[in-house]
Amino acid sequence: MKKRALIIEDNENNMELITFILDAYGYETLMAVTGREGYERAVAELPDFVILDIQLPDILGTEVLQMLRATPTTAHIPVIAMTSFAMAGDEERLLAAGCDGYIEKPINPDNVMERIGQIIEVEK
Amino acid sequence: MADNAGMRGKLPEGGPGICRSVCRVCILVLSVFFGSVVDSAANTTVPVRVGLYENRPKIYMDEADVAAGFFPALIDGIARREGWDVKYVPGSWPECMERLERGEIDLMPDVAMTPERRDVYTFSDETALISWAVVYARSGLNVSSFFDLEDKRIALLRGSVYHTGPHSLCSIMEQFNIPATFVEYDSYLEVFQGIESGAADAGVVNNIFGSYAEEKFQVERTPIVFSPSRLHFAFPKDSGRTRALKEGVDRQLREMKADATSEYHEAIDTHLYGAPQREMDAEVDFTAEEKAWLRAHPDIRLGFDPEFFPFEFLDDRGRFSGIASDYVDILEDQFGVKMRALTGLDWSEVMNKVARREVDVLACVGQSAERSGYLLFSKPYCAFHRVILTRTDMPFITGVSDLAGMRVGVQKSSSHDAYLRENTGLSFTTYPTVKEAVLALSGGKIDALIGNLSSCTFWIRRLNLTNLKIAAPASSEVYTLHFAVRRDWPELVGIINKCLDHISEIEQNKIQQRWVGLEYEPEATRRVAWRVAIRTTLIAAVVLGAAMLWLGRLKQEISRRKKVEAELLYFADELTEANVKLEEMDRLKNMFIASVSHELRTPLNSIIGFSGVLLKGMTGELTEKQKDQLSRIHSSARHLLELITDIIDISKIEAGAVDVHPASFLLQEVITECEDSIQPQLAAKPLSLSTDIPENVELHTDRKRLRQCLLNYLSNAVKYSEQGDIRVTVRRLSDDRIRISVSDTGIGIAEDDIPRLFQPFERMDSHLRVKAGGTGLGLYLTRKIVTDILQGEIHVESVKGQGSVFSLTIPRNVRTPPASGSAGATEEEGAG
Repeated sequence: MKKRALIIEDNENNMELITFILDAYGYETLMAVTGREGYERAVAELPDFVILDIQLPDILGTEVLQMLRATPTTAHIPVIAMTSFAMAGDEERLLAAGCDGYIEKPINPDNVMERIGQIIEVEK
Repeated sequence: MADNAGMRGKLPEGGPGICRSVCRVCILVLSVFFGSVVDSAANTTVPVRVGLYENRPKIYMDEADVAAGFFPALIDGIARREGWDVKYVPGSWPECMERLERGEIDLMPDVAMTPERRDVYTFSDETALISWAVVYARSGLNVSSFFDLEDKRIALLRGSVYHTGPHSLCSIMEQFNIPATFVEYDSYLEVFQGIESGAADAGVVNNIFGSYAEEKFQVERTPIVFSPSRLHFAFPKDSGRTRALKEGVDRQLREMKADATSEYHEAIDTHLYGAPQREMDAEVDFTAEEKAWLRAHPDIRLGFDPEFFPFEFLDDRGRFSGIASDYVDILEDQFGVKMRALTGLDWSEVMNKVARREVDVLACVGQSAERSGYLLFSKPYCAFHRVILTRTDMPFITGVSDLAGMRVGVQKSSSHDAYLRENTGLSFTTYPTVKEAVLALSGGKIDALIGNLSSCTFWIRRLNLTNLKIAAPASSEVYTLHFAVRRDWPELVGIINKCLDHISEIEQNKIQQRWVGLEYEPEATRRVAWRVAIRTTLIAAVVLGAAMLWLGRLKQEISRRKKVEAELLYFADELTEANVKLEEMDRLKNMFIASVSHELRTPLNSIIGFSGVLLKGMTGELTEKQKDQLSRIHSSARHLLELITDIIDISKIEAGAVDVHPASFLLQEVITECEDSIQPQLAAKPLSLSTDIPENVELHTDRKRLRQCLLNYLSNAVKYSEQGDIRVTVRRLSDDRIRISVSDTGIGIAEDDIPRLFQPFERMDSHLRVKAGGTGLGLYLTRKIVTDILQGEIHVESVKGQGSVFSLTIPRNVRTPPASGSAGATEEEGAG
């Protein structure tokens, strides 16, 4: 069975890029463009993992994360944060907030799947 | 004593010193043969040995090793008159005093007379000079009383009256129970050097040396003065020559002091004043025509501005007063040129009357083209600065050109009025008096006022207006003030000019000092102050006791200091305000760049991501040409992204919006990570990488930032080396400091280029620039990170063509700064 990824991302181009790569590697992709919509889809569809942009138009990515963690049915779903060239301290901050890992923008198609694979693998 | 040899024995062969000393010797020899009275005890066959030490400008050894200064000039005069042969014996002050006590020298000039010393030495009856101690401090130490010297290190001249005895600083400090450390030096020069180098916080020198040398050192004169002393000549107590020498000195000093043209006064003028003075000539040679003209014009009507402080004004008792009035007094008392000051007129009325020739002379006016139409101007005799005043809430202005569109005011019929009309196209409002103009500005009726710095400052203070500031100079020129005479009386201009020529510099300084204090000619004030101080001292030496002088001087100094300080504070406030604004603007600029750059990254991420996907062939096979061109897009976009990221980093660091994220880790781990990251580039060249790192170097600092810097050093090393070895070395410098160095065998950097290395966008050797790539911001950013975040320093050593060593020295434990409010910026950074 195909693994299902929920991508929460407001930038259309980024969304197209990440879904294209995931599709190419045989994942099923679900999409949400706001934090609230992302949370609702996660609860409704229970994806295998979530890729979460940290800057969203309505609520902060970290808040979405907290909401997912606070809901029993989604609490265990791995969440991968997507950040722009993570700056000093961001990594720690995101992991402390409960992320399972992060990938950097710009997305590098050469290794992004490897990275996602590692993060999900560890969570199993 | 080994160095008992005279000065002349030490002279180098040839050179100008030889000639000078030969001349002196000739004079001495001549005086031996032709000297009228030769005292037998002080006979020329045995030279008079004089102690020579360093105490500029009173006594010192010049570049040609010849004794120079006030005392040698004076002693030469005495020697000539007494028929002595003089030999100078150089040494430090304490050495000289010891030699004098042992009779190894016969005479010491410049010795303060104290009861203790009178037990040891014999003193001349005549005083040569009066001097006192002045405390100088390191700039910025803010010493205003003895109490500010608590726990400070104070430099003193060993063995001086300021060092030992009842009037010494040590004893004063003890009386006040103020603890301090005293550092001893052998000359005043060393005292100043000690303050400058930081070896001492403050130091004591005499007033004459202080005035002479203060500008050459980073020292600040404090208001503290003490221990006025009479400087005498001292002789050994038990020497058989002493009596004759002492009598000779006293006799000649008495005579010289009484004679204004003597060597004594000449020495004061030359060595203490800085330049010979022209003597005042009270007799002016008026021509017969001029005398006739003066007789024919017994009533010269003088107009003045009743509110042109301090140049001319009506004082509280309704009398003509100010600088101009002093000059008018001199014209009248010394030269017999009588003028009648017209009181009861305001300035506009005066100017109207001048035009109608109901006033003949103006005492103190600036020149303007318009006024030249009906007035003739004398030589200038004082000066002022023209400035622009605004309210403190007004925007920053830089000069008259910024005043367009503003409501500008000026005193009617003043030179400023004419200046604006003749030099600018501004429209403006006029006011009868400066006072009214200043009040109009303060009250918001006008936005800017052009006026004279002195008059405006005076009224601002007098009216206690706190909302006004001196915004900018109206021009950099200094304007001169003159007597102005009705055009049909050119004879009077000639007469006034003649008188002005005959007023001595001393007299002019006195007037200046009396009315202006020291604020109007900043470049000339020190010299003026110094001259006045010394002249005052000399007069006081005859008339007043030392105590009176001390008190007077102290008061004068305090009030001068207060005045200067008030002005400095005013300008300091202005500057601080401007600086705060600038800093805030700079911070905003940096934040702006950081956030704009952030927005630039979003589209770049798409370009890089999609071109990456295409290059990977995920959308289908590409032709070689397509692949080549696409990879150019891809790498250019990456380059641009690096550039933007560096700019964001720099802007944030400069805006102070970067937090330190300290963590504990082993240095080895970070270096290994960097090695891994650099591996691909390293593998592309015949380069090896080795390390020399002590075990278990634990750090507590910002790990990511350190990694960023090391990676930058390493990638530069790889970029600029074609072959050889790159080496990472770590050394513990102390318990808390380590140095990490990255050395390469690359192209190296020319010494001249090293300072440019850490400037943004500076890359050496342009052909490599193309080849090496990179943003040109790397080292600049590295330096910023190391200094601003890691709290360390960077170093670079390089030999062109052989390689470079880039190092950074950082504390092992970074100091955690107080919590800052920049968390928001970090928050935004994580987004994307």
